[in-house]
Amino acid sequence: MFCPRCRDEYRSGFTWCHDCDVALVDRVPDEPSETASEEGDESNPVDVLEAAPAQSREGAIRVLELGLVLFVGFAYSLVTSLHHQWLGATHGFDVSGHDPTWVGLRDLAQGVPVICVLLYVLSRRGRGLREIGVTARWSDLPLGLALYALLPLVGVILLFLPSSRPFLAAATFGWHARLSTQVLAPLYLAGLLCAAAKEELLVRAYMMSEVLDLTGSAFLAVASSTCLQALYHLYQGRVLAFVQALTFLTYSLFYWKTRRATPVVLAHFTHNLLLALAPSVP
Amino acid sequence: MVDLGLIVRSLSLLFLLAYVLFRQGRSLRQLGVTARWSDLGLGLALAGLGLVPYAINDLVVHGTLGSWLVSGLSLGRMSLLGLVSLLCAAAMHGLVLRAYIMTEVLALTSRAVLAVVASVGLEELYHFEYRTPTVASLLISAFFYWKTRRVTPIVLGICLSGLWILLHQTGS
Repeated sequence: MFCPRCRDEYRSGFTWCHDCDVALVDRVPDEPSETASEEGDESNPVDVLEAAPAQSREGAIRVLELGLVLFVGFAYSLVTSLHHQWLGATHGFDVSGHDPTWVGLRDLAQGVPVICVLLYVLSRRGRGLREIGVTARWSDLPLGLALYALLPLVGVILLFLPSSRPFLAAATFGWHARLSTQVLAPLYLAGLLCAAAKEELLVRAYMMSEVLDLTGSAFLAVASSTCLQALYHLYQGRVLAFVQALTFLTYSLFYWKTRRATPVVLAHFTHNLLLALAPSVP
Repeated sequence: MVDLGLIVRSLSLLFLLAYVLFRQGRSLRQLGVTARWSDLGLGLALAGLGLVPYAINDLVVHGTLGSWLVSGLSLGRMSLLGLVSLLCAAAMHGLVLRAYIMTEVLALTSRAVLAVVASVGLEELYHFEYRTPTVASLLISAFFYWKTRRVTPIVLGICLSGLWILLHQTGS
């Protein structure tokens, strides 16, 4: 008995090649012809017929995995956000009045398990965070800061929206406001970093990579990532969610062009940190 | 919103469990999900047994049975969303906290005591405010799973006891 794929010979009684996960055949399959290889036609028709359903199944599993990761990571936030929007009970991003230690612990408890789920799914595919753009280079920091520095440009658009002034006060020019140094506690900072990493790794890097691979459409990847993130920020109100969407769009375009996730995480972290440092929204 | 949140959180864990099992080439059947008529009878028995510690607690602490046991039926607190959330929460507790954890701890350590303690301990931490009656109730279902390796009766038991509470609870 022979494996049609790796061509290994098996003793009688064996019917399955566990390395290739295919049924054994009676005679050794023919070598692929050199002419065919030179012409770029490396696959024989039988392989192509077998590969099509397998590829289709793999694609379906990838879609399910994407759905699972996003559901575990953001279904609750999405439902809560839509519910708040539905009731008209929107509120800002202000974290003042909460114990920074507990806020940090909460962010870690919410972020770490979800990132672990992402790692598990990636590892099952033989991939890691590196494959979705997590780097550790010196250029990540200036790129992240530069990406954050782009955000005041979003503020220019906001000047045309009168109801967005409270946001401008805190987000764009927040460093003029009263500083809350409480949020510099290590646990709080770790929580902020974790929350930023959770959002950017899942909704930006993983989701965009998968949508790009599955559909080949950059527009769909950018749009789906930006829209999902804006939707679960609807609890801040429609105007602020729109403003956030512009920020997320900037991040998405950066990721699409560079395929680097670390600068986006750093930009998101800086953004959240500065919002937390100047919590006195009028 | 509480019900909807519970549904979403429970479904997240159930989907994750299904995925992990799928990736390991296993299914819910290997955890003890069955579909037999005897599941219903066993579920009823587990629901009854599970409520006994609470009744004893009421008698010992307050000297009388709580309204959840003796008051008349009321449909005031019933809603479709409430029933769905009860079903999802029961499935999550039974499948994840009982069946999966106990199966894995048993497979990894071969120690039944550790499996029971891990499963009950984790769920007790989850319901920290209830303490003794909850521990007793959870121990009953953990021992049941250890002996029978059937999780459907446990899920049904949680559903039925939850339904009982919903139908008998008065006030807000």
